[in-house]
Amino acid sequence: MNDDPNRAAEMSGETRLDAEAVRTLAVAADLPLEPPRAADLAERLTLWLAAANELSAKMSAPEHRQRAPIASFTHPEPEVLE
Amino acid sequence: MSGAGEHPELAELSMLEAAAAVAAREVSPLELVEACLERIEAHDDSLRAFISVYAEQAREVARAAEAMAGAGHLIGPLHGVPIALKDNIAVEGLATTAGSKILADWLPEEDATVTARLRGAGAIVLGKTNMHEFAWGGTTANPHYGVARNPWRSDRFPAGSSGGSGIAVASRMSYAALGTDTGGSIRLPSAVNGIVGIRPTIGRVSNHGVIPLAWSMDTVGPMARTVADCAAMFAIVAGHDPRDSGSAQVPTVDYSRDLDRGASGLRIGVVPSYFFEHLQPAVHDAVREAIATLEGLGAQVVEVEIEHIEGNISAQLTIESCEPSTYHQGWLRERPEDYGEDVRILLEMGELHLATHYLQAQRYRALLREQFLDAFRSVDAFVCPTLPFTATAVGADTVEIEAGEEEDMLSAIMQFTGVSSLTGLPALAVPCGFDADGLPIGMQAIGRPFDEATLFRLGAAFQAVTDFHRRRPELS
Repeated sequence: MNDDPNRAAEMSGETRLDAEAVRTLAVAADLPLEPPRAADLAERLTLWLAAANELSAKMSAPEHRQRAPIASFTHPEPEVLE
Repeated sequence: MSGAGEHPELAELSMLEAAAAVAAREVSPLELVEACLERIEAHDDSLRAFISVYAEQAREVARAAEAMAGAGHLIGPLHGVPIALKDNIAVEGLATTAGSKILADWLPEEDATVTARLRGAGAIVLGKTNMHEFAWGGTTANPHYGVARNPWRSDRFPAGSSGGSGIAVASRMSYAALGTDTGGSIRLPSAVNGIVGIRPTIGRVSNHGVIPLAWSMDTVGPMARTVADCAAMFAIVAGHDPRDSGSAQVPTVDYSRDLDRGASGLRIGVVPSYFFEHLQPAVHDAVREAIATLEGLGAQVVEVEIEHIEGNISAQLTIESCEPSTYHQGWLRERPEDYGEDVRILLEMGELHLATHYLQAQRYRALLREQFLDAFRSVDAFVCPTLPFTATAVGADTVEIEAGEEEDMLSAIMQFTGVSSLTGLPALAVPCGFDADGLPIGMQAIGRPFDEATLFRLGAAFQAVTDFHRRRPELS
């Protein structure tokens, strides 16, 4: 897996967003987005979402099925502070 | 009482040296303030380290501090020492803009917890430092308050988002500063400005009163010229805060206790397949040399593989897209023209990710944390570069790491800092060399959760036998 969006596009050729697709996503988010701005976003968003989709595929593997999301540490891990 | 014009050497003191000189009544707080203000006056028009300078307030507090010192009363360990705060950290009654036009007129009703703790320790707040707008970016090319520049070469960037804090400390405008670090924003400017900075374990330092970027990764930490200064400032701001729901209820320790203990016996983890790939040769060589130096001091180098380390950049970009876009959702619809164009685009992009992208990235964090915690059974700290390149041109939005390959700056700059941002692990940036253009290079030490003391030990051992931290930029 190459998660760097600078290089991920080559590996995820199926993820391609054009300005119209970006506008559709913006409508879903109720985000006003004029066509020129949608076009500006399309290329970079394509790269980022390609990488995000790769990560999603990785995390959907059976070995990670039981894994829950975390957001913060609130206590030390006792086993590493022994 | 004399000004810095008569004592230019005062600006060269470390934070702890300045504090000791005040305590010994060898120097007055007003002299320290004047020394800093003179540097700001001389250089900030070109470097743009500060958004606000509280000259008269600082002088007033300094006079009071001097009177107290004269009466034998020291408020705390930083009595009379001028410091700076990144402009997303609240100071009661004084503008806290977060580098934005949106918050240009906001006056906080109370200090952030870290502000209050530093003032409670006797520090004098000189002013608020420049930053990437709302901390969402790594260049500090601020469209509202000026494009910040690197003091080592003014045509290069200071990194960010805490770029102003990095400049202020490196150029001797302040003895130390606070920054904030979500994806690397303390460590990156520390590295490219040649100073020390620590991203704490998440939850170790209160975020109360700090304008958020991404709640689940935001931290506040010190930036200073030496590891000892950084540890001393960290000791003041660290600790539980009931006003921050993410604050950890974990006791603090004496963060300076191991500064003289050396590196002998420390197990240094190295991940050659990730942290030493895809970086500029000068950075590679300087960090490898730094590891050899630590080995020479008696540390043991252990090569480690982190199976799932690939994925961290994407996870970071996803989380750092979605969380800020949530915070800014109202303003983005009501005042879109008030954002700088680069930040507006990032906020718009963050709204167009799916919830599944965000949650898969959060699940990945659990995986990455588990792998690092497992690795910490055989190492005490990891050492790696802070970022894969030295300071790039001001205004650039791409960077060339490998010849002929232009890359997006934002993805490239967080290549090595994302690991601790995602896992919540503490990470210390320490100067470890210079490239052929005389630009600073930084290494990064990543530690166990809540074990910042070991990072300070490692960094202090390195600084005891090197002089990178003693060099300073020559300003015209």
